[in-house]
Amino acid sequence: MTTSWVRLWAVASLTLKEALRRRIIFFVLLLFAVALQISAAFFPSLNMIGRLRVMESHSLSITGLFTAIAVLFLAAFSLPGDFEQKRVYYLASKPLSKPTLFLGRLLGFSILVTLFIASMGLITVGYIRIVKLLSGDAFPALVAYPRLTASEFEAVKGQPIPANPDKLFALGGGEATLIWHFNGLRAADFPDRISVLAKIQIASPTDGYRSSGAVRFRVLNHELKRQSEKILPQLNTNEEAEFDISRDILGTGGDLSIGVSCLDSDGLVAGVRNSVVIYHRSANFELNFARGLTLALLQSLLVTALTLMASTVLSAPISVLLGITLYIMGNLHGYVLEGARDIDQTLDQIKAAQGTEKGEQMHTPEDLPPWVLRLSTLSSRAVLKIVPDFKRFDFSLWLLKDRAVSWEELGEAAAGVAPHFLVLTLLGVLIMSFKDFG
Amino acid sequence: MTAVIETSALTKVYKDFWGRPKHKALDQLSIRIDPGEVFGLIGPNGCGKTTTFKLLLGLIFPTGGQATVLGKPPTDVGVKARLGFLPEESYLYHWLTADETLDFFGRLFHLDRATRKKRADELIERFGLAHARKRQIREYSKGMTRRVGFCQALINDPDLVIFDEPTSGLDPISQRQIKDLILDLKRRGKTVLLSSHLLGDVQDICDRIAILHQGQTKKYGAVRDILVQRDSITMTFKDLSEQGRRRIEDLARAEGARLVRSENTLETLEDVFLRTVQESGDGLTYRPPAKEGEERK
Ligand SMILES: Nc1ncnc2c1ncn2[C@@H]1O[C@H](COP(=O)(O)OP(=O)(O)OP(=O)(O)O)[C@@H](O)[C@H]1O
Ligand SMILES: [Mg+2]
Repeated sequence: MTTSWVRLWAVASLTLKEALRRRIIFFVLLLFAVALQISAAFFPSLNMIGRLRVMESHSLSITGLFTAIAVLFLAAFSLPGDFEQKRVYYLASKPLSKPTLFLGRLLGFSILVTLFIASMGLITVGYIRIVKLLSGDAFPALVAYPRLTASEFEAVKGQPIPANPDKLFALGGGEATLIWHFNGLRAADFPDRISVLAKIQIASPTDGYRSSGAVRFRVLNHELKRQSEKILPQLNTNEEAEFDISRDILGTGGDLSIGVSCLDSDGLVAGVRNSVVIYHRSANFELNFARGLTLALLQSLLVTALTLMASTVLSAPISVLLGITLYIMGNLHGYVLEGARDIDQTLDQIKAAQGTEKGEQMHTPEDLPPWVLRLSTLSSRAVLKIVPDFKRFDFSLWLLKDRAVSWEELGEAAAGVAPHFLVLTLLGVLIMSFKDFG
Repeated sequence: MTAVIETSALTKVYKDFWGRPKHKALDQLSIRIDPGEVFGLIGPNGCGKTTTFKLLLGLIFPTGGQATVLGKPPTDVGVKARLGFLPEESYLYHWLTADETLDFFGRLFHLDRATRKKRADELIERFGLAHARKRQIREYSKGMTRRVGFCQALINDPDLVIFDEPTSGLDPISQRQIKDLILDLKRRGKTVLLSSHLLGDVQDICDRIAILHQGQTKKYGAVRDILVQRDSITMTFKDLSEQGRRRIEDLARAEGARLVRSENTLETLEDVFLRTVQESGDGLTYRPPAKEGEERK
């Protein structure tokens, strides 16, 4: 395969030039600006923090939507256009390998998506800054708090869950405690009050439906024996519990431990290493915005790669449809997976009850034969294997809570996308190598 | 001497989406084209001319047989560096100007900026596009687009050019220019493979031809050998009197020949058209290129 950068770049810049000439970039950005400033219509009924949130969430949803639609259509129609209008006859008679044509297009559209998202980010940040300037002091500060996960996680008198050794649990009513250790913290990295966020699972060994209970949080510094305590009498499972502690508790050693135990004797608490996190002093808002939009970029790149790959064999409209399907499946990932799990559970119950008297009358909830359900969970699981969970790329989960996207989180998201992206690219290259251009 | 193009039993069966054979477009084509030749592929619509070109360019894969182009298989990307192709239908990138189009194709050949510019200037001048070079191709007329097609085919100064119906869509002057272009390429030692429905042109410029019909090779060889009627002779005289003509006819009859036709020579419409346009002097002047051995003025 002869892929040269010069040729790759020639095709990529052709792609960009086309988008520029058709004024697509211009119109998409113009529409974006108009749509964004419509958020001002909600201002009268909102307080200052509400205004910021409206702008932020509005911007992110239109960024996602506009970028996806623009790129979806551009990518879906480019290669089929080359084939149908027989421009490939010119291209393929030049020293340009067929895969290079695909790769060049992919590179071009990737750059285009990046341009789109970066410009939309710039417009958004500029817009928020202007509104802040006009609103005066009442407008909230633009912040982004970086998250810090524990360096160690242990269960004192507790134990791992057999099915998932990373998850520890501690029975309630006694001494059993889950402890998150944060080491080597520097006081300078934190504001006066350090905020703590916990997302604990609450259950009961005897009652399968139990999902809340009384929970005690203890924050201590072993070196200084300083301690602060907080009791939440009615915490729901996986509910975000937020509280703050004085920075003084850090002392000079910079070690901090947070212990969590269940106060109900019939309950239990469970968690993993990142179930409890603390927050640093605010990072630069704009820089964080850029990191957050990179998450959105990753998602769009995936949609682009799939659409372009599909368009090597399928017609443009079908490729658009496939791209949209990926988009929807990615966004519904959580729901579909949950549904599949529910059905599996029901099926297991039926299996267990079979032969017993109860089993005779037991049916699936919808009265469908079990094999239909089995098939549906199998196929939806198979599809979910191919499609990543787009929640990972939803920057609003961070932005609307003033949280910073860490480099690790960004890296994880990128690592999650990379295999999909690579496989799609490889498929495209392979298809192009063996494709008849007739 | 190694052949520029050589095919042996080259066959193409188009298949449908499910891989079932649909149409045998080319059946056992075996030809050989030597360096410096002008070779013509002729035949009725759908006889497999374009299919042959696509096979030679590696655009499609053969169902059977082999082909080599410049000594390599057609899919070899390196071969393309020495090749130029003009497809029968020209859809270029509508949003690019002629300049940008040629620059883009030049980059695919790894030509440096200066060479790209120089070649593009020459070609644009030669094909009379100088006034429109900064306009987007979507504003071009059919013939103008076609000429950009010629420019892109020659941007790499190729050793082998393949023209699929080069003169279609062109006015008579441009048609004549293309004929001269092809002869000029031949003079410079290039090899030309073309298809055309203008049999007169093919007869004028091609050294050898193949006639295809429904994918099968019906005739293959030098134009002269194919056309010559060994039992018949044409003579052209200038200023022959009526009396002289009768005497020559009588002489021939005495030799046992049968007179089939004897009439005044007609000019071709092309010659009259060119002369008329030239005499009216509306700028569309046509200057025939220098003949071999003759100095260009
Ligand atoms: N992609 C294709 N799929 C199926 N059949 C095809 C395809 N391309 C060409 N054909 C068929 O192959 C035959 C040869 O087509 P080809 O284009 O080579 O003809 P041609 O000699 O160039 O004709 P023309 O003089 O009209 O340009 C035709 O019968 C055509 O219908
Ligand atoms: Mg044809």
